[in-house]
Amino acid sequence: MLRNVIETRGLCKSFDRKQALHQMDLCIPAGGVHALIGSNGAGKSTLFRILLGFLTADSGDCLLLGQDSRQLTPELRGRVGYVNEEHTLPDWLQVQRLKAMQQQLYPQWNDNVYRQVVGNFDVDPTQRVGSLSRGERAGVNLAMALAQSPELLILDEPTLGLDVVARQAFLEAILFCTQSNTTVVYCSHQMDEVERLAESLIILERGEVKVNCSLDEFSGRVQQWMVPAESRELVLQKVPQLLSSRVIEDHLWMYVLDAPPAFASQLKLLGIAEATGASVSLPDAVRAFMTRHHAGQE
Amino acid sequence: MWNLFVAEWLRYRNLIVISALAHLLLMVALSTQTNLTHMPLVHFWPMMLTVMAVVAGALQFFNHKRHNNWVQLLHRPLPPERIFAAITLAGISMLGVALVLPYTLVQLYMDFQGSYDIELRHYVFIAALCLQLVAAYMGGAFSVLYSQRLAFLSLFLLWGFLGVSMNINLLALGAVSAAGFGWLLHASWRPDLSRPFHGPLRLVVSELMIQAGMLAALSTVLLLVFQLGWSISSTDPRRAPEAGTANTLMRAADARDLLLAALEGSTHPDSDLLRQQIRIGEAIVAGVANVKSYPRRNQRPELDNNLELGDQEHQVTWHFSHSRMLFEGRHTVTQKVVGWLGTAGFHAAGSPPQDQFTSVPWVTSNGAVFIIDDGSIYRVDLQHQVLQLRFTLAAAQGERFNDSLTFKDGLVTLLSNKNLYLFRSAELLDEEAKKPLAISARLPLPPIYQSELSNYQQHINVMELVDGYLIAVLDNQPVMGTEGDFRKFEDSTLTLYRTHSDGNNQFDNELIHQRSLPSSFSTSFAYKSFVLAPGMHLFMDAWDGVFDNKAVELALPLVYHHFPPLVLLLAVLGCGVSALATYALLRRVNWPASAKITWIVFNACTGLVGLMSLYWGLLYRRELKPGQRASGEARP
Repeated sequence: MLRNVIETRGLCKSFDRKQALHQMDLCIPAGGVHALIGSNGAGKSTLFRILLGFLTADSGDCLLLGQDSRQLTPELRGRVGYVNEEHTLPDWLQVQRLKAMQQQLYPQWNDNVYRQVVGNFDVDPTQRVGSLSRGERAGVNLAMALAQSPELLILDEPTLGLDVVARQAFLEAILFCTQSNTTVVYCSHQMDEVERLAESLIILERGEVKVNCSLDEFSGRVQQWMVPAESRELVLQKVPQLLSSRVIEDHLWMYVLDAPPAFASQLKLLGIAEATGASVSLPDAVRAFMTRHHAGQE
Repeated sequence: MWNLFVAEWLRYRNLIVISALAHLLLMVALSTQTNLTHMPLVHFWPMMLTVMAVVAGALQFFNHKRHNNWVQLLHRPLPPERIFAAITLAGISMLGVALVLPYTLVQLYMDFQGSYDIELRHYVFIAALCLQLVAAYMGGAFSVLYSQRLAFLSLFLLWGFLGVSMNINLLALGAVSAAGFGWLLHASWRPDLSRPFHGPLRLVVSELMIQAGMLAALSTVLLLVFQLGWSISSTDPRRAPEAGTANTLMRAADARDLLLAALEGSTHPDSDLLRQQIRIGEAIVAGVANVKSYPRRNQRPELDNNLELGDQEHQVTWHFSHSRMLFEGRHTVTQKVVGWLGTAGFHAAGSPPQDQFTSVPWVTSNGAVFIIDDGSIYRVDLQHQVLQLRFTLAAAQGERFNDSLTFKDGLVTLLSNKNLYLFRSAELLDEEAKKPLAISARLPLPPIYQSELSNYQQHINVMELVDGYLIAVLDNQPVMGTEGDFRKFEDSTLTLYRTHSDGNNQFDNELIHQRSLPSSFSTSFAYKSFVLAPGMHLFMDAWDGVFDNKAVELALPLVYHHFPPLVLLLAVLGCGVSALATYALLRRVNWPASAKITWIVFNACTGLVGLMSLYWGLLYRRELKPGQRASGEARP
């Protein structure tokens, strides 16, 4: 069995003067749901386009299910599902006709999965795709992607613009998928979704992989500490692990990455006697990590 | 693949059905008013359909090209070639239904009804039109799909269809164009649309097409700039030409002045005598001959100008049938065949007679009606239904008349591909004449007139002498003219001949003097496009020469040797700069070495236009990375 569904080595891609991907090394193992997050322009879409062979990297290697992404065969494309944020589907076709067309293309089509997922969205099969609501459209798109029984399913911000009900139904469908052998790469800005679905977390920043570990591991790496507000300057100068900080009333609340076990002692050595540490939630940890360049700003 | 084909049809079904019905209704309405296959509108119809095919191809592929649509289309377990075939075949079949089918149906109906003479060539024309539309559709799609913003300029080549007069040539050009655009479209059909062609053959073919269009566009812009400058400074060479140029003579001189001008600088011993004769004699402007084209058998039907004789008195229209090589007379109301007109005269309705014309004639009228074919002039009396053979060329090999019959001041001029003929118009118009028409003068012309579609203008001025004629011939090739020897610049000569007849149609022609006239246009105007792109210029001249059948002979670029040395130097310099700048630009992109070498060599030949095309392509694809080296290493 394939060990890594996605593997990139030294991947570089730039547009004009902007470097979209820079020496990106990324391995995503088979199985489970892997969350891919990053701020706008971090290189997520560029990575997906290179992975699917719709963009050529300037340099580096990129393997999708073990195959060079520049030369993906039709057979391999059949093993990779892709759902984008716009849920691009042929608007002019009826849902049932679209389904019939897709069904013919994929020999491993699982009609039970399709019906189960679409059932969550209450879609009329005789309706034209163009007349579906955004949520129904997303449901049909996901149902078709899942019914293909793909080995790898790439979801690029699929819940963008969905209402609460549709989002709930969508996430349930993905959870259903995690029971199969499909590896899911889930790209989203919604941290609650990531927390609920994903097993591992990949954070992209300026075209580089900054974090690639399990959710628990990442949460454990970020801690929140509260120190007196007057020690702010000292903290900013002497605490290299600082991610971000904020003064609230008389206290400075700071997020710290990879704080050593004796972090409180380290602070004491700096003359900060009163320091209280606490663990943080994943959304807070990710937010603190992604805003670390603005550390010190209040 | 079939599913994709059907899906594409379903996508556009409403538009196609509405277009087809509207087209059919329009065709039916027009067919009730006129002979659809010969109406003047048909001349523009194929071009209008071609534009629609270009738009259809561009729109269809643009809808697929948008990023997520493109991924959705190509990311499926099907070979890209099959997806391409499904989409393209769907597009072509839709064009067929919307654009070709209504036209064909109406033509079939007209043929079935028998109201008009629908010939095989009309159906061949539809086949050729199909290929033309396929080429246009592919071109439109290619211009949208290919990763070069200027790809749309390749559509300029579709203008080539306008210059083709024969159905069979149109079929060939349509097939070649459709295959060429189809090949390029297929090559640009790949998941990564941001990559340009790197293979030498694809690169050269696509760039030849794009840069030919680019050169045409640039030349047009420069022409407008020049025109603006001329208008502001009131120095338009056409309106206010410099003294001594051909344009001055054409605009201002009367016949006498032109004859005198032809004698300027002459060292002929009779020069003074002739000058005196011109001053006291009566000079005649024999006419301006614009040589257009020979009507040819099975030509495109919409080019059938001057192939009809209208007899209002008998309510009959005589139309020349290419399949029968006879004029077919139809009643203008009932549309029934009422007779035939062949070389022996008029015949009653019935089976077609055997006196067919040996070549497709043309019809002209100047008080009287004449039919002229390759070697004969017939006078037609429609009222009494009499055809009179007035003149036949001696059996000279390969000589034939063209459509330049001009009546002026008692003289008639008619050009063949070898000679200028002068007749007396009174004799030609004489209804009672029994004798064959006598030639007043026959003057051999330079071989350039063997060209079929020469853009030469001839101003012929004649003075009758006691025993012959003085004939001044001003040949003026327009500045944008095209010739087989690749020259495209104004080139004018004024030649004076003295002819003498022995009375037995034998002529003694003496060249008195010939002078070349300077161009009214500046060197920079005349040679602008050559300096911009010498290689492309050669390519386009060759295209004109070969495909438009204008070439007298396939000349080599050595014919450019007579260009001013500064022009040649600038052209070579432009090529050198283009090659060096191409090299410098390509050092900053990550392309295969073979592609870079091809580009450098290609731009060294094509010149500055090639450099512009490369630069804009790189800008469009955002491939110019300042400071990055050819190794492909990314900047830190």
